[in-house]
Amino acid sequence: MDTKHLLQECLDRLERGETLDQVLARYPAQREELGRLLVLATSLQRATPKMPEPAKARVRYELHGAMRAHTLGRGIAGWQTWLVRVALALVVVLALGGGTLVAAAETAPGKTFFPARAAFNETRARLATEPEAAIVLHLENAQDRVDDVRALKERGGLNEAPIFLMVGATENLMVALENNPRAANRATLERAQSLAQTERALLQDLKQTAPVERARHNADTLYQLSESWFPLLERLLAR
Amino acid sequence: MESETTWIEQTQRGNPSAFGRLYEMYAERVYRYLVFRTQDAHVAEDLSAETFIKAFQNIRRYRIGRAPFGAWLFRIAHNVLIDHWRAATRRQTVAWEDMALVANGAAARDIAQVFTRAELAWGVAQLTDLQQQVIALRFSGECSIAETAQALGRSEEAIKDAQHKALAALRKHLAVGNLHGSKQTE
Repeated sequence: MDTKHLLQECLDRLERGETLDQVLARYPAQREELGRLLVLATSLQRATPKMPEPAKARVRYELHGAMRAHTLGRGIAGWQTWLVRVALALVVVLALGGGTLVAAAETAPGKTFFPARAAFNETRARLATEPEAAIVLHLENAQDRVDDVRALKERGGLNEAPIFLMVGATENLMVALENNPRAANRATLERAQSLAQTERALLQDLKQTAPVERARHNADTLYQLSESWFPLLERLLAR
Repeated sequence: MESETTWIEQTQRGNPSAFGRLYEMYAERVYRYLVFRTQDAHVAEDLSAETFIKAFQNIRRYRIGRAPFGAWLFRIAHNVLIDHWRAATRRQTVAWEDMALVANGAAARDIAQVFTRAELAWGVAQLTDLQQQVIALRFSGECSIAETAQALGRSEEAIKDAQHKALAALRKHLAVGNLHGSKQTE
Protein backbone atom coordinates (compact mmCIF):
# COMPACT_ATOMS: atom_id res chain seq x y z
CA MET A 1 0.00 0.00 0.00
CA ASP A 2 1.40 3.42 -0.87
CA THR A 3 1.84 6.21 1.65
CA LYS A 4 -1.28 8.20 0.78
CA HIS A 5 -3.49 5.17 1.46
CA LEU A 6 -1.55 4.23 4.57
CA LEU A 7 -1.94 7.79 5.78
CA GLN A 8 -5.70 7.65 5.30
CA GLU A 9 -5.87 4.31 7.07
CA CYS A 10 -3.99 5.80 10.03
CA LEU A 11 -6.28 8.85 10.10
CA ASP A 12 -9.30 6.55 10.13
CA ARG A 13 -7.81 4.63 13.06
CA LEU A 14 -7.16 7.86 14.98
CA GLU A 15 -10.74 8.91 14.32
CA ARG A 16 -11.95 5.61 15.72
CA GLY A 17 -10.12 6.37 18.99
CA GLU A 18 -6.73 4.71 18.69
CA THR A 19 -3.79 6.71 20.02
CA LEU A 20 -0.95 7.78 17.78
CA ASP A 21 1.36 5.31 19.52
CA GLN A 22 -1.05 2.44 18.84
CA VAL A 23 -1.48 3.44 15.20
CA LEU A 24 2.23 3.79 14.52
CA ALA A 25 3.00 0.47 16.19
CA ARG A 26 1.12 -1.19 13.32
CA TYR A 27 3.49 0.21 10.69
CA PRO A 28 7.04 -0.06 12.06
CA ALA A 29 8.66 0.32 8.63
CA GLN A 30 6.87 3.60 7.91
CA ARG A 31 6.72 4.77 11.51
CA GLU A 32 8.85 7.86 11.09
CA GLU A 33 7.35 9.12 7.85
CA LEU A 34 3.76 8.45 8.92
CA GLY A 35 4.43 9.81 12.39
CA ARG A 36 5.53 13.19 11.07
CA LEU A 37 2.44 13.49 8.88
CA LEU A 38 0.04 12.33 11.58
CA VAL A 39 1.48 14.73 14.15
CA LEU A 40 0.86 17.52 11.67
CA ALA A 41 -2.67 16.30 11.00
CA THR A 42 -3.55 16.20 14.68
CA SER A 43 -1.90 19.59 15.19
CA LEU A 44 -4.08 21.02 12.44
CA GLN A 45 -7.20 19.51 13.97
CA ARG A 46 -6.47 21.06 17.32
CA ALA A 47 -5.21 24.38 15.98
CA THR A 48 -8.62 25.59 14.85
CA PRO A 49 -10.57 27.28 17.63
CA LYS A 50 -14.01 26.04 18.59
CA MET A 51 -17.03 28.19 17.86
CA PRO A 52 -17.78 30.29 20.96
CA GLU A 53 -21.35 29.93 22.25
CA PRO A 54 -22.18 33.67 21.81
CA ALA A 55 -21.08 33.40 18.18
CA LYS A 56 -23.27 30.34 17.70
CA ALA A 57 -26.21 32.19 19.27
CA ARG A 58 -25.67 35.23 17.07
CA VAL A 59 -25.52 33.18 13.87
CA ARG A 60 -28.59 31.26 15.03
CA TYR A 61 -30.40 34.55 15.56
CA GLU A 62 -29.48 35.87 12.12
CA LEU A 63 -30.52 32.60 10.58
CA HIS A 64 -33.90 32.68 12.30
CA GLY A 65 -34.47 36.21 11.06
CA ALA A 66 -33.61 35.30 7.50
CA MET A 67 -35.67 32.11 7.70
CA ARG A 68 -38.69 34.02 8.85
CA ALA A 69 -38.33 36.72 6.24
CA HIS A 70 -37.90 34.02 3.59
CA THR A 71 -40.84 31.88 4.68
CA LEU A 72 -43.15 34.88 5.16
CA GLY A 73 -42.40 35.85 1.61
CA ARG A 74 -43.59 32.40 0.54
CA GLY A 75 -46.85 32.83 2.44
CA ILE A 76 -46.49 30.12 5.05
CA ALA A 77 -49.19 29.30 7.55
CA GLY A 78 -49.67 31.59 10.53
CA TRP A 79 -48.77 29.02 13.14
CA GLN A 80 -45.41 28.44 11.47
CA THR A 81 -44.74 32.17 11.49
CA TRP A 82 -45.62 32.17 15.14
CA LEU A 83 -43.23 29.30 15.87
CA VAL A 84 -40.34 31.10 14.26
CA ARG A 85 -41.21 34.26 16.12
CA VAL A 86 -41.21 32.42 19.41
CA ALA A 87 -37.86 30.86 18.56
CA LEU A 88 -36.52 34.29 17.69
CA ALA A 89 -37.74 35.80 20.94
CA LEU A 90 -36.30 32.91 22.94
CA VAL A 91 -32.93 33.30 21.29
CA VAL A 92 -32.88 36.99 22.19
CA VAL A 93 -33.65 36.29 25.82
CA LEU A 94 -31.25 33.36 26.10
CA ALA A 95 -28.43 35.08 24.25
CA LEU A 96 -28.61 38.13 26.44
CA GLY A 97 -29.00 36.57 29.86
CA GLY A 98 -32.75 36.70 30.22
CA GLY A 99 -32.78 34.66 33.40
CA THR A 100 -31.46 37.46 35.55
CA LEU A 101 -34.35 39.42 36.92
CA VAL A 102 -32.89 40.71 40.17
CA ALA A 103 -32.45 44.48 40.38
CA ALA A 104 -33.53 44.75 36.81
CA ALA A 105 -36.28 47.29 36.91
CA GLU A 106 -34.36 50.50 37.49
CA THR A 107 -31.35 50.12 35.24
CA ALA A 108 -30.66 52.21 32.19
CA PRO A 109 -29.03 51.59 28.81
CA GLY A 110 -25.32 51.09 29.26
CA LYS A 111 -25.65 49.92 32.85
CA THR A 112 -24.83 46.41 33.98
CA PHE A 113 -28.38 45.13 34.27
CA PHE A 114 -29.74 46.69 31.11
CA PRO A 115 -30.39 43.37 29.30
CA ALA A 116 -31.90 41.97 32.50
CA ARG A 117 -34.28 44.93 32.76
CA ALA A 118 -35.51 44.31 29.25
CA ALA A 119 -35.99 40.63 30.07
CA PHE A 120 -37.76 41.55 33.31
CA ASN A 121 -40.25 43.75 31.47
CA GLU A 122 -40.72 41.03 28.90
CA THR A 123 -41.45 38.50 31.64
CA ARG A 124 -44.05 40.84 33.17
CA ALA A 125 -45.80 41.01 29.84
CA ARG A 126 -45.72 37.25 29.42
CA LEU A 127 -47.13 36.70 32.89
CA ALA A 128 -50.06 39.09 32.39
CA THR A 129 -53.26 37.04 32.48
CA GLU A 130 -55.39 39.36 30.35
CA PRO A 131 -54.35 39.38 26.67
CA GLU A 132 -55.18 43.09 26.35
CA ALA A 133 -52.97 43.98 29.33
CA ALA A 134 -50.19 41.77 27.94
CA ILE A 135 -50.32 43.54 24.58
CA VAL A 136 -50.10 46.94 26.25
CA LEU A 137 -47.10 45.77 28.33
CA HIS A 138 -45.40 44.39 25.23
CA LEU A 139 -46.05 47.69 23.48
CA GLU A 140 -44.58 49.70 26.35
CA ASN A 141 -41.58 47.41 26.55
CA ALA A 142 -40.97 47.72 22.81
CA GLN A 143 -41.26 51.52 23.04
CA ASP A 144 -38.73 51.51 25.91
CA ARG A 145 -36.29 49.47 23.83
CA VAL A 146 -36.56 51.97 20.98
CA ASP A 147 -35.82 54.76 23.44
CA ASP A 148 -32.85 52.77 24.78
CA VAL A 149 -31.35 52.39 21.32
CA ARG A 150 -31.80 56.08 20.58
CA ALA A 151 -30.19 57.04 23.91
CA LEU A 152 -27.24 54.71 23.36
CA LYS A 153 -26.79 55.94 19.81
CA GLU A 154 -26.62 59.53 21.04
CA ARG A 155 -24.05 58.56 23.66
CA GLY A 156 -22.00 56.69 21.07
CA GLY A 157 -22.15 53.41 23.02
CA LEU A 158 -24.36 51.40 20.71
CA ASN A 159 -23.51 47.82 19.77
CA GLU A 160 -25.68 45.07 18.37
CA ALA A 161 -27.14 43.79 21.68
CA PRO A 162 -29.65 46.66 22.28
CA ILE A 163 -30.68 46.45 18.63
CA PHE A 164 -31.44 42.76 19.04
CA LEU A 165 -33.40 43.54 22.22
CA MET A 166 -35.38 46.27 20.51
CA VAL A 167 -36.42 44.11 17.58
CA GLY A 168 -36.99 41.13 19.89
CA ALA A 169 -39.40 43.19 22.00
CA THR A 170 -41.35 44.29 18.94
CA GLU A 171 -41.37 40.72 17.66
CA ASN A 172 -42.95 39.67 20.96
CA LEU A 173 -45.58 42.36 20.55
CA MET A 174 -46.38 41.00 17.10
CA VAL A 175 -46.65 37.46 18.48
CA ALA A 176 -49.09 38.68 21.15
CA LEU A 177 -51.15 40.51 18.52
CA GLU A 178 -51.20 37.54 16.20
CA ASN A 179 -52.26 35.16 18.99
CA ASN A 180 -54.96 37.51 20.27
CA PRO A 181 -56.10 39.48 17.24
CA ARG A 182 -59.23 40.78 18.99
CA ALA A 183 -57.58 41.79 22.24
CA ALA A 184 -56.13 45.12 21.09
CA ASN A 185 -58.33 48.16 20.53
CA ARG A 186 -57.81 50.55 17.65
CA ALA A 187 -55.79 53.06 19.67
CA THR A 188 -53.36 50.33 20.74
CA LEU A 189 -53.04 49.05 17.18
CA GLU A 190 -52.32 52.56 15.92
CA ARG A 191 -49.66 52.99 18.60
CA ALA A 192 -48.16 49.66 17.55
CA GLN A 193 -48.13 50.72 13.91
CA SER A 194 -46.52 54.04 14.77
CA LEU A 195 -43.89 52.22 16.84
CA ALA A 196 -43.17 49.78 14.01
CA GLN A 197 -42.72 52.66 11.56
CA THR A 198 -40.43 54.51 13.96
CA GLU A 199 -38.37 51.38 14.60
CA ARG A 200 -38.07 50.60 10.91
CA ALA A 201 -36.87 54.13 10.21
CA LEU A 202 -34.38 53.79 13.07
CA LEU A 203 -33.08 50.48 11.66
CA GLN A 204 -32.78 52.08 8.24
CA ASP A 205 -30.67 54.80 9.82
CA LEU A 206 -28.58 52.33 11.85
CA LYS A 207 -27.69 50.36 8.71
CA GLN A 208 -25.56 53.37 7.79
CA THR A 209 -24.72 55.12 11.03
CA ALA A 210 -24.34 52.54 13.81
CA PRO A 211 -20.84 52.99 15.24
CA VAL A 212 -19.89 49.31 15.13
CA GLU A 213 -19.66 47.41 11.82
CA ARG A 214 -21.41 44.37 13.25
CA ALA A 215 -24.24 46.54 14.55
CA ARG A 216 -24.67 47.98 11.04
CA HIS A 217 -24.68 44.49 9.58
CA ASN A 218 -27.26 43.24 12.09
CA ALA A 219 -29.41 46.34 11.62
CA ASP A 220 -29.56 45.46 7.94
CA THR A 221 -30.76 41.91 8.66
CA LEU A 222 -33.29 43.12 11.21
CA TYR A 223 -34.52 45.85 8.89
CA GLN A 224 -35.47 43.15 6.40
CA LEU A 225 -37.18 41.23 9.17
CA SER A 226 -39.20 44.29 10.27
CA GLU A 227 -40.96 44.38 6.89
CA SER A 228 -43.11 41.48 8.02
CA TRP A 229 -44.73 43.49 10.84
CA PHE A 230 -46.84 45.70 8.59
CA PRO A 231 -49.11 43.17 6.84
CA LEU A 232 -50.24 41.92 10.27
CA LEU A 233 -50.90 45.43 11.61
CA GLU A 234 -52.72 46.50 8.47
CA ARG A 235 -54.87 43.39 8.58
CA LEU A 236 -55.83 44.04 12.20
CA LEU A 237 -56.51 47.74 11.58
CA ALA A 238 -58.68 46.94 8.57
CA ARG A 239 -61.13 44.93 10.64
CA MET B 1 -35.42 8.30 15.47
CA GLU B 2 -35.26 11.52 13.49
CA SER B 3 -32.30 11.75 11.17
CA GLU B 4 -30.53 14.32 9.07
CA THR B 5 -32.58 13.18 6.07
CA THR B 6 -35.82 13.72 7.98
CA TRP B 7 -34.83 17.28 8.90
CA ILE B 8 -33.87 18.02 5.31
CA GLU B 9 -37.19 16.68 4.04
CA GLN B 10 -39.12 18.63 6.66
CA THR B 11 -37.31 21.84 5.76
CA GLN B 12 -37.96 21.22 2.08
CA ARG B 13 -41.66 20.80 2.90
CA GLY B 14 -41.69 24.25 4.54
CA ASN B 15 -40.91 23.58 8.19
CA PRO B 16 -38.13 26.05 9.03
CA SER B 17 -37.62 24.79 12.58
CA ALA B 18 -36.25 21.52 11.13
CA PHE B 19 -33.44 23.51 9.57
CA GLY B 20 -32.51 24.65 13.08
CA ARG B 21 -31.56 21.04 13.81
CA LEU B 22 -29.30 20.98 10.77
CA TYR B 23 -27.72 24.22 11.93
CA GLU B 24 -26.97 22.75 15.36
CA MET B 25 -25.48 19.71 13.67
CA TYR B 26 -23.13 21.56 11.32
CA ALA B 27 -22.49 25.02 12.86
CA GLU B 28 -19.28 24.05 14.62
CA ARG B 29 -17.74 22.32 11.61
CA VAL B 30 -18.61 25.08 9.16
CA TYR B 31 -17.29 27.75 11.52
CA ARG B 32 -14.05 25.87 12.08
CA TYR B 33 -13.57 25.47 8.34
CA LEU B 34 -14.17 29.18 7.78
CA VAL B 35 -12.01 30.33 10.67
CA PHE B 36 -9.20 28.13 9.39
CA ARG B 37 -9.48 29.63 5.91
CA THR B 38 -9.92 33.26 6.98
CA GLN B 39 -7.97 33.17 10.24
CA ASP B 40 -10.41 35.74 11.53
CA ALA B 41 -13.04 34.70 14.05
CA HIS B 42 -15.38 37.63 13.34
CA VAL B 43 -15.29 37.16 9.59
CA ALA B 44 -15.83 33.43 10.06
CA GLU B 45 -18.89 34.19 12.18
CA ASP B 46 -20.38 36.44 9.50
CA LEU B 47 -19.60 33.96 6.75
CA SER B 48 -21.10 31.12 8.80
CA ALA B 49 -24.36 33.05 9.01
CA GLU B 50 -24.26 33.71 5.28
CA THR B 51 -23.56 30.05 4.55
CA PHE B 52 -26.52 28.78 6.55
CA ILE B 53 -28.87 31.45 5.22
CA LYS B 54 -27.94 30.53 1.65
CA ALA B 55 -28.31 26.84 2.44
CA PHE B 56 -31.79 27.46 3.84
CA GLN B 57 -32.81 29.58 0.88
CA ASN B 58 -31.64 26.93 -1.58
CA ILE B 59 -32.47 23.75 0.26
CA ARG B 60 -35.23 22.83 -2.18
CA ARG B 61 -32.51 22.41 -4.80
CA TYR B 62 -30.65 19.85 -2.69
CA ARG B 63 -31.34 16.30 -3.82
CA ILE B 64 -31.14 13.71 -1.08
CA GLY B 65 -28.88 10.84 -2.05
CA ARG B 66 -27.05 12.64 -4.80
CA ALA B 67 -24.33 13.98 -2.48
CA PRO B 68 -23.93 14.07 1.31
CA PHE B 69 -25.65 17.11 2.83
CA GLY B 70 -22.36 18.07 4.48
CA ALA B 71 -20.62 18.20 1.12
CA TRP B 72 -23.38 20.39 -0.31
CA LEU B 73 -23.16 22.71 2.70
CA PHE B 74 -19.37 22.99 2.56
CA ARG B 75 -19.58 23.76 -1.14
CA ILE B 76 -21.81 26.71 -0.24
CA ALA B 77 -19.36 27.74 2.50
CA HIS B 78 -16.54 27.60 -0.04
CA ASN B 79 -18.48 29.77 -2.50
CA VAL B 80 -19.34 32.26 0.25
CA LEU B 81 -15.66 32.43 1.12
CA ILE B 82 -14.66 33.06 -2.49
CA ASP B 83 -17.25 35.84 -2.76
CA HIS B 84 -15.91 37.35 0.44
CA TRP B 85 -12.35 37.34 -0.88
CA ARG B 86 -13.46 38.81 -4.17
CA ALA B 87 -15.30 41.60 -2.38
CA ALA B 88 -12.44 42.37 -0.02
CA THR B 89 -10.06 45.05 -1.22
CA ARG B 90 -7.26 42.79 -0.20
CA ARG B 91 -6.99 39.39 1.36
CA GLN B 92 -6.38 40.09 5.00
CA THR B 93 -4.55 37.76 7.26
CA VAL B 94 -4.97 38.22 10.95
CA ALA B 95 -2.51 36.41 13.15
CA TRP B 96 -3.83 33.66 15.33
CA GLU B 97 -2.78 33.91 18.90
CA ASP B 98 0.51 32.23 19.46
CA MET B 99 -0.40 29.18 21.37
CA ALA B 100 1.52 26.10 22.22
CA LEU B 101 0.18 22.99 20.64
CA VAL B 102 -0.41 19.46 21.23
CA ALA B 103 1.74 16.50 21.41
CA ASN B 104 -0.18 13.30 21.03
CA GLY B 105 1.51 10.80 23.29
CA ALA B 106 5.10 9.66 23.44
CA ALA B 107 5.30 8.95 19.73
CA ALA B 108 4.54 12.54 18.84
CA ARG B 109 7.16 13.89 21.21
CA ASP B 110 9.60 11.36 19.94
CA ILE B 111 9.04 11.98 16.26
CA ALA B 112 8.36 15.62 15.87
CA GLN B 113 8.44 18.97 17.43
CA VAL B 114 5.28 20.73 18.54
CA PHE B 115 4.01 23.51 16.30
CA THR B 116 2.32 26.73 17.23
CA ARG B 117 -0.84 27.94 15.54
CA ALA B 118 1.09 30.76 13.93
CA GLU B 119 3.63 28.38 12.45
CA LEU B 120 0.89 26.15 11.11
CA ALA B 121 -0.99 29.12 9.66
CA TRP B 122 2.14 30.28 7.91
CA GLY B 123 2.92 26.79 6.65
CA VAL B 124 -0.60 26.27 5.31
CA ALA B 125 -0.45 29.60 3.51
CA GLN B 126 2.50 28.23 1.47
CA LEU B 127 0.39 25.36 0.08
CA THR B 128 -1.51 25.37 -3.19
CA ASP B 129 -5.13 26.47 -3.07
CA LEU B 130 -6.41 22.92 -3.52
CA GLN B 131 -4.13 21.65 -0.76
CA GLN B 132 -5.33 24.41 1.56
CA GLN B 133 -8.95 23.56 0.81
CA VAL B 134 -8.38 19.87 1.46
CA ILE B 135 -6.56 20.56 4.71
CA ALA B 136 -9.28 22.97 5.87
CA LEU B 137 -12.13 20.63 5.01
CA ARG B 138 -10.51 17.50 6.38
CA PHE B 139 -8.95 18.77 9.60
CA SER B 140 -10.99 21.84 10.54
CA GLY B 141 -14.33 21.04 8.92
CA GLU B 142 -13.93 17.39 9.96
CA CYS B 143 -15.20 16.28 6.56
CA SER B 144 -14.73 12.69 5.48
CA ILE B 145 -12.83 11.89 2.32
CA ALA B 146 -16.16 11.37 0.54
CA GLU B 147 -17.60 14.71 1.75
CA THR B 148 -14.42 16.55 0.81
CA ALA B 149 -14.42 14.98 -2.63
CA GLN B 150 -18.06 15.95 -3.24
CA ALA B 151 -17.56 19.46 -1.85
CA LEU B 152 -14.61 20.09 -4.17
CA GLY B 153 -15.93 18.16 -7.15
CA ARG B 154 -12.96 15.76 -7.18
CA SER B 155 -12.54 12.02 -6.87
CA GLU B 156 -11.79 10.43 -3.51
CA GLU B 157 -8.43 9.27 -4.87
CA ALA B 158 -7.57 12.85 -5.82
CA ILE B 159 -8.44 14.02 -2.31
CA LYS B 160 -6.29 11.33 -0.68
CA ASP B 161 -3.47 12.33 -2.97
CA ALA B 162 -3.87 16.04 -2.22
CA GLN B 163 -4.10 15.32 1.50
CA HIS B 164 -0.85 13.38 1.47
CA LYS B 165 0.96 15.96 -0.66
CA ALA B 166 -0.38 18.82 1.48
CA LEU B 167 0.85 17.29 4.73
CA ALA B 168 4.21 16.40 3.21
CA ALA B 169 4.61 19.91 1.78
CA LEU B 170 3.52 21.49 5.05
CA ARG B 171 6.04 19.39 6.92
CA LYS B 172 8.74 20.54 4.52
CA HIS B 173 7.76 24.22 4.76
CA LEU B 174 7.71 24.10 8.54
CA ALA B 175 11.10 22.40 8.63
CA VAL B 176 12.59 25.06 6.35
CA GLY B 177 10.91 27.81 8.36
CA ASN B 178 12.44 26.53 11.55
CA LEU B 179 15.83 26.02 9.93
CA HIS B 180 15.86 29.73 9.10
CA GLY B 181 14.60 30.55 12.58
CA SER B 182 11.55 32.30 11.24
CA LYS B 183 8.48 32.75 13.42
CA GLN B 184 5.85 33.85 11.02
CA THR B 185 2.80 35.21 12.74
CA GLU B 186 1.30 37.37 10.04
